[in-house]
Amino acid sequence: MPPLSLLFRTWRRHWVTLVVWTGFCLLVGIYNLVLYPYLVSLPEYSRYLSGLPQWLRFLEGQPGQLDTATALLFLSTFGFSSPFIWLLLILRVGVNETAGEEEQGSLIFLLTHPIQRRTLYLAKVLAIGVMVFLMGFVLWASTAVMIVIDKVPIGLDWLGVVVLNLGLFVFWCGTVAMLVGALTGKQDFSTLLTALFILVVWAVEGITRLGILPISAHWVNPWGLVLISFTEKNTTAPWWTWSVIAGLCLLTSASGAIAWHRRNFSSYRGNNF
Amino acid sequence: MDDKKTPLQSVKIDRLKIAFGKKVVINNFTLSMNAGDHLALLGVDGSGKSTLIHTLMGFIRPAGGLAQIAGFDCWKQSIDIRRCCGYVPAVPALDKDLSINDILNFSARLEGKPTDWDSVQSLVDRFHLDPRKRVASLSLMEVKFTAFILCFMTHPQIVLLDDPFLSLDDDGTDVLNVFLEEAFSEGQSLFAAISHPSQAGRVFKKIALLQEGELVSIVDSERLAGQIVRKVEVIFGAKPPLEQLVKSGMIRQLSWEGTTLRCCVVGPSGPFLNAINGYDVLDIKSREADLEETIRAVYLEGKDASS
Repeated sequence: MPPLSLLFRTWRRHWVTLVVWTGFCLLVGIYNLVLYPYLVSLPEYSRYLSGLPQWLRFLEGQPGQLDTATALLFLSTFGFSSPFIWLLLILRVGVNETAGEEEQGSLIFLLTHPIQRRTLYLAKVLAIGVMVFLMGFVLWASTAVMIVIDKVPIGLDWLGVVVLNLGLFVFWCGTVAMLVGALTGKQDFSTLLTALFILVVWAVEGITRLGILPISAHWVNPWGLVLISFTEKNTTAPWWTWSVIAGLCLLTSASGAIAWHRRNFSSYRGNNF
Repeated sequence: MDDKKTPLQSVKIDRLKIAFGKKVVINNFTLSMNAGDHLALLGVDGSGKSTLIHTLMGFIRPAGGLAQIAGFDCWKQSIDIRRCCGYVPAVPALDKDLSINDILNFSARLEGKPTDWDSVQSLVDRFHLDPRKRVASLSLMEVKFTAFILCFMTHPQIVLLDDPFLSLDDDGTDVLNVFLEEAFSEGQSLFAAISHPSQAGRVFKKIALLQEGELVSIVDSERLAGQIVRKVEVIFGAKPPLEQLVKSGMIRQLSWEGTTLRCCVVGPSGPFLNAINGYDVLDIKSREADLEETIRAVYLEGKDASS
């Protein structure tokens, strides 16, 4: 078991990420609760929407699909954007914890202590796991507030399961980012590579409609750009899909630990110069 | 191995090879150090000094050969190495948002054993650091001194220093020299990479010369510091016979381009000037040889003099 101080170190390094995420959720909530009702009551807004080209209306607001004219489906917009931002934030944290530490040279400071590299790696995985859980809670709480106030017919317990399932996927993306960072040691390159990889996974999942990943199972349908209606499909992903994603998390974490254990930390740039 | 005060054997490096892909950085390097020895590793940038120290600390896996500290294999038993060794990197990178106090506490927790905080405080005082200051607000020299405290707070028996004087000003260099002299009078072993002979100071009696990943020679530090080598270019009206000068060992690395002589003059320049005095000298240029030229002229003569 890694020392708790190592976990605290990772959280301290990325507290801004948690603040940004909480701020995002708060802003969307405030927009939804305060600005949005005012916006949709304006006749100019309806005229503006109907004047948009068809393809843009499809994205921005069209009754029956992504209808920004109702609170329920405005939540869909939130649900659509939040996984992307959650993913991007965790992806950056994951890469920073491996390749970033190596590039900055702070990894050398850690490696001078009598701690196994795999213990260091495990500490980072655990710390990111806890971060994902906290961010998931913030997402659940902010969405729940909107659901309650807007009187949307969605169960909060069901929402919790959805967020947990999505969180597991985000966590897997974080472990992939760590693995790529551990293999390459280059932060920007790893971020790009991981983002591309996740896009490919997303596309394959969307095309084949395997239903393994929560993104297509019940959160976001990447091809219709529509959150599958909460009211129509009030279901969660099958339990076996959770096992698949959890297995992927274990596999990528173990691979990353092995990659780090074998890696030569040969050159570094100090962040103080 | 639970304590850094456990008696230790020597550093032992035997036919060590380090390669990154196809590029061989260290080749056939053999060196041994007894407990209590103070050895400086001198070489130009890129000669493999830092790579060698990183290998000893277990950051890099050797491609061949043996690297041991205190009988522990540097790669396979790197945890034991870190328990008995202290290390100061050339460019310490510490968490910027932490204060010196926070970093010392964090490091002590990772060490996992009781820390003598009185001795840590004396180190902080010695380096004139304010432990409440955050790393982001420290000067380069203060960051380096913090790294020294982190290294010495565990009382290591062997200390590996990578370019210890980098980023120190004259006062800082003096403070560090005095500190090292006192620290190593207690029998600690010291292995340091330095980039200039003058940095050997009074601490290092022996200097290992490293060039392009190979050990050239181990020399007395005072001898190397006193070595005067000048790079000289002389344009003659006609090519003179200089066999006697070459035989005397006064000039090395000799090459001709037409009637222009380029060579290294080892020792005082007077005898050389006297020797060419009788010939038709059109022009003469001279400068102090850099470290690489000095090593080549003095220690590699006969190995690659033609180069």
